[in-house]
Amino acid sequence: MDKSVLDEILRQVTKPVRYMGNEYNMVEKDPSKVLIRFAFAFPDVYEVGMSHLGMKILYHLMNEREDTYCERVFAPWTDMEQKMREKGLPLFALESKDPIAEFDFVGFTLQYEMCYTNVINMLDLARIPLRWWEREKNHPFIIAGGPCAYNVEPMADFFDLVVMGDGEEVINELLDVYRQWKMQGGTRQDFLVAAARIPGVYVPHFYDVEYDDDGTVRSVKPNREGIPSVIQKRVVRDLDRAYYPETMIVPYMDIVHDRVMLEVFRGCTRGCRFCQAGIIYRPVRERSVPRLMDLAEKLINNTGYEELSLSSLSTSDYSDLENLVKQLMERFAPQKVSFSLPSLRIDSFSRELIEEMIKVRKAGLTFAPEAGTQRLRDVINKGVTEEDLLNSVRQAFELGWDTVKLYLMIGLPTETQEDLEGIADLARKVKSCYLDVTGGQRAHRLRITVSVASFVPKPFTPFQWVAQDTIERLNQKLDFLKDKLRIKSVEFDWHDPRLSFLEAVFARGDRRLGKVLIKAWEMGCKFDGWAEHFKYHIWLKAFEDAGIDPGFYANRARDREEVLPWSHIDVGVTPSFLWREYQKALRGELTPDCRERCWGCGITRLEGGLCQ
Amino acid sequence: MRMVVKYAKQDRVKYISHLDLMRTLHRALRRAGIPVAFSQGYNPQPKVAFAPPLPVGMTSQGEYMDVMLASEMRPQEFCQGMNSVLPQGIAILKAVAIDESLPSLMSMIERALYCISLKAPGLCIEGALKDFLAQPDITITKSGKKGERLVNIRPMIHRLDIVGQEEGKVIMEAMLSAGSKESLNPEQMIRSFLEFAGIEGDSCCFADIHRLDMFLYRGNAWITPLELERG
Repeated sequence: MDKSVLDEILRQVTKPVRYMGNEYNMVEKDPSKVLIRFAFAFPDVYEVGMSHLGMKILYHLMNEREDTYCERVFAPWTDMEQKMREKGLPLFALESKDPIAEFDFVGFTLQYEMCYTNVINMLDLARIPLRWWEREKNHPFIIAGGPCAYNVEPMADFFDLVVMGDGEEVINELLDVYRQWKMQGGTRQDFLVAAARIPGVYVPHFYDVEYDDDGTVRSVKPNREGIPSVIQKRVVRDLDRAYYPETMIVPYMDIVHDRVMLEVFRGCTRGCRFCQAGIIYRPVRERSVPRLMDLAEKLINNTGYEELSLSSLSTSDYSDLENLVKQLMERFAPQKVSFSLPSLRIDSFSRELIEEMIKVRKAGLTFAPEAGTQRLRDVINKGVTEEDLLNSVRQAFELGWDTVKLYLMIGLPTETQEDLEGIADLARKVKSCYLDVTGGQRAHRLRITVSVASFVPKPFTPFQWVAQDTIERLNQKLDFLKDKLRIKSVEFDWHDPRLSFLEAVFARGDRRLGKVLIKAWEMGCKFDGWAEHFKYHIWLKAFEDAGIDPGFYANRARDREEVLPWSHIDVGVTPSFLWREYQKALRGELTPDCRERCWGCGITRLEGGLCQ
Repeated sequence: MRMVVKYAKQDRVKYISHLDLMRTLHRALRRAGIPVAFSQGYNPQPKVAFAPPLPVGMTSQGEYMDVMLASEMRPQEFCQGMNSVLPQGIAILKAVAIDESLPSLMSMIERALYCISLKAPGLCIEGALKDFLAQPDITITKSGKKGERLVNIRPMIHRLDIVGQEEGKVIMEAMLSAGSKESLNPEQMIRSFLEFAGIEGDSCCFADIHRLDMFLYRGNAWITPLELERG
């Protein structure tokens, strides 16, 4: 690439450091000396993508291979994109600055439905044909993974293949198959056929989808011999033995999660019924304290980071947390390393330990009761009581916190007016708890943020069959809450229901939505998750032009017999378990944490894990 | 022990902002295991201070930071340790121990020397430059926290010479004010000059600017911070 053109452009854009590469611990290889060039693509800006743990793991894992050079590419912000198009600069990888169209693979991680137009835009900016059938021998294979890959149907036209499950093992198998194919020579189809034999690899166009007259899916069937009729996700059996990087790239700019990320475990046993991550990442697999201490030591030394976070879906559920935190504090406090524990349940922690931890830094506190009444929390199987919450909040106030954030959802199944009122009551109770603890001493410092999102039914959850509330209904509920939450010291913020509506459409969408995505992108949609770029009216136009009713996907209840567009994907947890959970939800019955007893979710059919 | 450290910011890192560069150097200090002293209090911070920041997009071979160490260390050892853990494009050139009681670099440094390579194909600018500098006042608009204000930059230009020419480029050297008292960004000066001379340039890609060094006035002479080395 002409470096002087890039140089000229970088002088004219905001945050040029996003496109610069050259960070400490970036892997440098001679591209002419590798057989496979892989562009790890994150369809959002640098500071979001660089905060993603999966990318850190797979980047270093692939670069362990002598035959492979994995580089990074992010979605350029609109000013950069405009300059690149003006100057004819194709999308390039940060490491070598080479166009990614010359690579063997471009691998997208799909973390969020509303990044789909960015995927399309990045392919276009890279000058790679958008749809799989338009690509030829000299084009890279466009592949995907990540949570949205489990129902990738709306994006089926754009990907050559998709990986289901933990990437650590599959990726090496895939690269091995590719290596063999590249050395032997063959057609693109030859490679895809060979790749589809790897468990966990899904080639969407090897499956035909038929529809019924009412618009629902009739069947999804393989269209050639030797292709599995169901694709089962891959699971790393033993996290202690699984690859974990001992170094991480240290960005120059302030990224969203700018710290060492130590993944303490994968999976979750709580079984919240709205939560997709809680199902698709099953079973729970923990790293041992010695392994974590060893990794922490290396990562802190190799990065120079001043902060370390223990990451997982629910860090307080780590079986030896107190011991781990104690050891980490002892080892790293003298070096002034601070710790953050996202998704922490403060009640499960000894008070001394918290006091010890906040000596280094006091971060904001977030609680996620999710629903306003106990009845509704039981429906969603959020095993938290109001007493739990108020106890935790009280402790936090006693320890000197003045700001808390409460996460809640509206539009949950079975929700009533009472549940909405419960949200406001909860905010009021938190406030009076503060006044009680502080005796009104520092009342002006109190800030309670009530953050409300609209519920989005997701595939592979017990609520995958339910209808989402319409936008009108959600807006009415928000208006009600805005009114009820006019309370001093309480701030109310909410997620745009129109965005939640589109999330619901694409989360449970099928292949017919591909043409909507293309139309929306053609009319200028990108960075849809960023409020300043979200163009809802254009989306509506795209649906209209494509002759598709989005309400069919978002606002329609499915029955048990309906063939769901993702019915050929097996995430381990069975549809019959999910249905049972749905029925229990409607009855308000709880399913306790599955560490207490096995509820037969089906994950034990897959290899390994804590589940026996 | 207090150390003044001279470092270079080269082409491949010229788009890092000052804040990002500070963070990068803090982390390099940790990686190198340098015994940096920390401030006391609720949120201890490493005792590292910087000379006047370099504007984004420029390169330099004369940047300075000021590091307080909790224990003694040989300056050479410091340089070696740091250079083995820095990203490419940032290099420690030299470190010297200085008197701990000296004021901050920011308050001592008053001038900086720049090399400016102006893309001016086929232009003869000697005459224009002479007329530019002959003005008693050169007023530019500076935008700051309190909005826009007019500033006379002529007193901040201590020297501005053409030192060479090569294919389509004019090479100039400029000694300008820099530091906490007053400071002139060479890019703003060049913009003002081009406007004065009536030269139309691509508004943002007209010059490569490289900082050569920074100076402070001490004992009747202009010296670089390295010359503060304690005896």
